[in-house]
Amino acid sequence: MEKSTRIAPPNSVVLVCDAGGGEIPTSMQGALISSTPSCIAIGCRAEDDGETDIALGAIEEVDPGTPSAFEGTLSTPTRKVVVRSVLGQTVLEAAVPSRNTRVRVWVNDQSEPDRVVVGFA
Amino acid sequence: MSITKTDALFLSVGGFEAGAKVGGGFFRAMFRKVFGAAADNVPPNVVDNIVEVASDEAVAARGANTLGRVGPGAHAGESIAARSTARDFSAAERAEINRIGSNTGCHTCGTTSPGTKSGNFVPDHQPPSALNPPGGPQRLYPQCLTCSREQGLEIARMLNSGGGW
Repeated sequence: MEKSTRIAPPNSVVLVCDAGGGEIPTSMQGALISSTPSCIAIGCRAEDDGETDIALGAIEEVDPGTPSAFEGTLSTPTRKVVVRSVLGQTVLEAAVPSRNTRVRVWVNDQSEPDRVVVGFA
Repeated sequence: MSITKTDALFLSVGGFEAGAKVGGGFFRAMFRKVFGAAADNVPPNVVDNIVEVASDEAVAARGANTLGRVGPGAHAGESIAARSTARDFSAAERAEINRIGSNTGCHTCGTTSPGTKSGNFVPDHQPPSALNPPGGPQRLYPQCLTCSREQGLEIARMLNSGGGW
């Protein structure tokens, strides 16, 4: 089931990782999305300019039918994936079926999206 | 547990030397986070000395505060007082931050382009709210969106490595 929230995340970035944590990317490297095998950092709308809609759910439920901005595999040893702020606040979470989770991310803008969709399988 | 000069330098190289600009309270908070209650046993003058030595050595080691993304950056110019940690900036505050940003650029990288769709610079609390002692004074500096995100990752890694989440 899709879960969603609307927030202005600190530093205009959210992290997707296992509920037990992950290795946070050392840099965005000039891109909107940066990742390690255990954490995905996603840029959002500038926090002081407005909120960003963030959705989390199974790929087949949340796929908007457009090309994704990111696709990869995330280490999820606790079988629970979370969306967190850089301050560690969990804003969304969902159970996943395995310890290695395929993740796709869709955004509505390549530099400053106000809608971010995270799908898992 | 004692705090050595090497420990202080380790913290400083992580970008904390900028804390020297706002006083030892910032460093003491960092020590407390890393070393626990032992930090409270360090006399204020020792903290000041550690701040001074660590700052000088760290800055000398890498030339300027351009790698660390926490603390007023190498391009920091004017700033304005932060009313609180809240991000309820007034129009006047945003205008002032934008004016400073257009003159001296992002305090971290120096770009005069904020990188936001709105054209606004990010008003950046320094020291960062997540790392500032409760009630400690903060200043607002203009920061570009790219550097704000990078700083966010750095803060997340600091909090994560400290067992914060």
